[in-house]
Amino acid sequence: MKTISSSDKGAAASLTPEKREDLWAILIASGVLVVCLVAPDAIHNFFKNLIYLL
Amino acid sequence: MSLLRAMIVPGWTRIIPGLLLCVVFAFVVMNIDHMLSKYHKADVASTRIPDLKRRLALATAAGDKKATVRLGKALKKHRKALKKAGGKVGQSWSWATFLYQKLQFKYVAMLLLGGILIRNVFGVHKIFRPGIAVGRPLIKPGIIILGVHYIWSDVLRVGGAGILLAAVFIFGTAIAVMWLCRRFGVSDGLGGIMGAGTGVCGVSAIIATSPVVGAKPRDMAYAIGTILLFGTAMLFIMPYLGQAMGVSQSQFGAWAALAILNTAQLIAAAEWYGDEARNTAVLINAARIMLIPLIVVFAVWFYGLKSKGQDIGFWSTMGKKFPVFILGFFLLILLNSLGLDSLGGPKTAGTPFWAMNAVYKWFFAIGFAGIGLSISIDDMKKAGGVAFLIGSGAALAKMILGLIAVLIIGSQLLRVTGGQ
Repeated sequence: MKTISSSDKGAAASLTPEKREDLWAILIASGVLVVCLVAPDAIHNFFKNLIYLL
Repeated sequence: MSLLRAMIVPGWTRIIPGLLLCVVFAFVVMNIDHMLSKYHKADVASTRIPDLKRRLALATAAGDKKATVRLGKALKKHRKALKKAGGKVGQSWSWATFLYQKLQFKYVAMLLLGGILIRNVFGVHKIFRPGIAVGRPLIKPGIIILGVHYIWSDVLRVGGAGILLAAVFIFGTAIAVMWLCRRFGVSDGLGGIMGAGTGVCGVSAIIATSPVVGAKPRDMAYAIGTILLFGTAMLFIMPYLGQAMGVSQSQFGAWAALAILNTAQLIAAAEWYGDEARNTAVLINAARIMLIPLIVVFAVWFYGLKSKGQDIGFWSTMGKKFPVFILGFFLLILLNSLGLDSLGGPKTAGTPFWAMNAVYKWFFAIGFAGIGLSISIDDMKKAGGVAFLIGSGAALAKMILGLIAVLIIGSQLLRVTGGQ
């Protein structure tokens, strides 16, 4: 069974859960922006058409 | 490097099953919603096309160019809707109209009700719980992306009205609840977090205020239980109430942002009501949650707390408690306001912001799946006693007063134009 190192525990404890959520939210939104900059038509087509099976 | 390590919680693989469950649940429901919407639009088109054809013929004969163009566009839109459903004029899909329009059986309702049903009737194995808890905050990237809908004049107008409304209602409710709790002998810990929770933003405010006022874990469970119970009730009742009273979209958005105590729930209620309602609700909620650090500082002052080894100075509290993700939301508003060709806009086909506009709803869907699957009737029963009555009374008063305030203010000041 994998044990969690104390340095990893310490690093995680330095951020509150809310701050961690907020930073992940910003990271994910940034990722979406980058992908949409690269392929806007493909992204739009996927989320508006392809993803719907019914 | 240590920030990166801090972002990844040890044992993060535990979230995978629950997160996958939220994603699959959201996928299924969004497909059902899409199907209902498609047949509802076809049902409307089937009845409207003959009338539009007749009016177009009259407008053309009369030489009314404006009406001809307008009617032509409407006819094209309805023909497209009918073609998508593979139907013909005269066919009926009244079942879709009944479900989608009359009962408002849209993805928000399906995810919340379905999630509650699954959680409380069939049960959710504990292996899924960590991931479901992660699913809920996925609404935040959705909120950030929603920034492409706004421009700065919206922020100043709606946000300005929102800050004023939010400040009055937040501090008014917090003061009333904290005072009443003290009056009826409720502990400072529970009273403090009830005041913050019913005043500001539900669970976030409770979590932010708890350590400062020394709330016990049992107090937090009571407060969160009250917030969830009331928030869930208002989430389902308010859209129907709003429609019955003829409340406009933007007014409903403002009302939801003031009265519903939890970001995810208020966005669910506003999204359910309509796009305009959601746009207003998100902006006013942004104003509201920025006040969380202030309510923490207020609680310190109200209860005359000493520092007790904690740094609860004004700027330190602002730094720790400020909801950072809102900065991403405002950054996208700024970029949209600049009108850059490289980014385009939510209605400009082929541009990045147009593509982003197609994505945000999926984050909301996963988030709503997480909310529905996490509402446990047992947890809500933990709310009880005087604090529950005071908190519920305050939340109810805020709901009624909030409605009066938005009806007086009117729709125009609360409407998000997005530059249109």
